[in-house]
Amino acid sequence: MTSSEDGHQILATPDSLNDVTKALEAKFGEPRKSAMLWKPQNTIALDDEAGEKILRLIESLDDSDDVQNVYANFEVSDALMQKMST
Amino acid sequence: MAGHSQFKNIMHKKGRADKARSKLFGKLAREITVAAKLGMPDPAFNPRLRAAILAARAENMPKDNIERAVKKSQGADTESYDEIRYEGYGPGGVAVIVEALTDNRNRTAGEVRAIFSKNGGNLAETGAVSFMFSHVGVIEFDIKVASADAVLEAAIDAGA
Repeated sequence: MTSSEDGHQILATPDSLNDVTKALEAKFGEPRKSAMLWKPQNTIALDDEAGEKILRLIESLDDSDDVQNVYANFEVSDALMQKMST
Repeated sequence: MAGHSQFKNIMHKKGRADKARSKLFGKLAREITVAAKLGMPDPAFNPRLRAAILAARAENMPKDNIERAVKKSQGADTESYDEIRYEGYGPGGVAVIVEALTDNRNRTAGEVRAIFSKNGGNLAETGAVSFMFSHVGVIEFDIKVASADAVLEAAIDAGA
């Protein structure tokens, strides 16, 4: 588990997610989020040029109504993230 | 900048944000409908539905929309959605996993494939990149609810 100023994040196995959520909910109230996701084991650090391309790909995928979630194993600079999200 | 109207600028930006928002609501509603259809329409007995509703609330989706999405699952004439996972590579060899809910596999597969190739990537077979990821459950709480130590202790007790 990790805590940051954004909040507390607890990891659970797919099998235990429901039970752990219930136990924690009883104690702390409704969580902000409880979901299954794909967590990259390793990430690739990208420069801004490559980063911009991959962010465009993800944005286009997200634009499709059928697509629910997109996961990818990369990291880009905060500055680029900021630029692309505005 | 052309046409120095600040208002126009705001309008344009707001229009874009509203569109993104309704798109997001549509996706959240689809997940709610699918979850409610697979199990019971009561979130207390349907963990996936509960997770879907939590996600919708976190985005401030109106209660009416949520209820409508649940109700929709109980209708006889609802489309049935398939869950599909696409795996591929983006530019720079980045591994990408796409989760989709679709009522038309052929359309979605074509769409996803086209997006990959248009953006310098390519769609691979299922299983080609998912081994580079762990499929895990994540639970998040606001920082205000408790101290990190208290949450950690409770999480260990709960078996996380």
